[in-house]
Amino acid sequence: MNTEYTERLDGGQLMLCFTGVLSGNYYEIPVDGNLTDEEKQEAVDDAVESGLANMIYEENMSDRFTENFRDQVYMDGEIKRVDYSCDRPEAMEQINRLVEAFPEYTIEQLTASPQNVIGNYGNYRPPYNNSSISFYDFRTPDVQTLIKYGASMTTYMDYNDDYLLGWHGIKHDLVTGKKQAKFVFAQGIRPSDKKFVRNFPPQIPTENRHRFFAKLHNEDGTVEPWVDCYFVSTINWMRDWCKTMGLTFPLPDDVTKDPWCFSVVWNEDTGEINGVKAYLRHRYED
Amino acid sequence: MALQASGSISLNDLHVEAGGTTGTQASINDSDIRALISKASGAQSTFSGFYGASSSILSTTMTIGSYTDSGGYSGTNSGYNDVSKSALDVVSWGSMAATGVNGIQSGAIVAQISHNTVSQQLQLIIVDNTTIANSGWTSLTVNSTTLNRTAATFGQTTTTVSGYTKRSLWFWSNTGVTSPFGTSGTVSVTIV
Repeated sequence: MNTEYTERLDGGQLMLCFTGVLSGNYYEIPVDGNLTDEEKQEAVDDAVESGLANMIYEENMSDRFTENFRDQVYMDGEIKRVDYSCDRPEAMEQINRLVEAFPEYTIEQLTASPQNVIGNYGNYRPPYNNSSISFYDFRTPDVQTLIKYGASMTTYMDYNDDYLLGWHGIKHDLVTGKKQAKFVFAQGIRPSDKKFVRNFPPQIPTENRHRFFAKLHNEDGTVEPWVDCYFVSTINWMRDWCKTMGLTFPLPDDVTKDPWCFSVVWNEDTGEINGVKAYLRHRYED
Repeated sequence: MALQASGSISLNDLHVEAGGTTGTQASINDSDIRALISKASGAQSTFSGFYGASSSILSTTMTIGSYTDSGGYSGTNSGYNDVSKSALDVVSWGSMAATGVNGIQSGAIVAQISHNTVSQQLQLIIVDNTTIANSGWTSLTVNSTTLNRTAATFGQTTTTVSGYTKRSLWFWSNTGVTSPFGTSGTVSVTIV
């Protein structure tokens, strides 16, 4: 990329100054004055990608972001799953299947919020083995839901800080009838902050503000070792990272639109990464 | 903190208010002391002329509000945001008793001071109708947390908000998942 930059000293602090290629916006970043020219260029190029990631974030994180859409979930260059917001007619097929297989639900419950999301999938990655349906409820899990899956109000707390985010998923295995809860949380990045995940994959390229995690909790209280990290990144960043890590880039070459989100799934016991996903969102105009 | 409004003022008081170290040498003609009351070099000054003078560009209070987007992806923001000025996010939260920062640029106002739990960043946004440079102030103090301007990443963007089309943003990373100034109540805000 090699975005051109200039340097200025601001009260003894070295600032690298540049203009974003796509946005045309002007930026200054403080850096260590001892950096080499190569390191400065790297810092600027990273900041440019970070700016692009920020644009993706700003474009997608509107209040109605989770309404009237489908997400095509890519992995290994193929669409592995399509999720629909529950206000879409396409969602009704899965909602009906879910209610039929799990009579504790009603259609009214599942469609109560247009922000809720549903999608079906097969055994495209561990720990999923059978035909299943995911239902994402865009509310913070209540205490009953947490307890049902062996968690509590404090599972994702550090002292008095609550890291649990405002949505959760329930996975339904249509063959075994087994259910799992996917709880979503942030994690502090300071060394002193409590860490809820282990063996986190190295140097995932994202501006930190767009990173959160999810763990799968079973009804017997156990937690699956496969952890999701969701983050906003860019195609350039992720293509380079996948190459460095020896992983398959999730999108086929003909997809050039930046996904609203990437995800890396890894085993927190072993550190093994078993997939990189890309979520390409299509918003309907009707 | 502003100088007193009456009574005797010492040269040391002026020096300290201007950012100097107490007990060190100063004169009433020093540029930083003259700047407290916008006096030209060599112009006559009286000590009473410094009543109420302040080196602060902004010294006010912020009533902390919070906002969590309904999608829940992006955590909780706490602090102050006037969406009609910042054009960021979809709602306003919190309030500030005063927002004008004429000492940075005439007509400029603070449109956002906010912390986000996912980004773990603290962000200051100042808006105006002309471009705001990364200069003119030294630090932002919210409650007991002081953030130096030169430690922040700085960006200039544009918006379509009438009267405030130029937006400058400073953000400080790694401020922790918890808002350094809390999530409710009223706190002091000072820009010097």
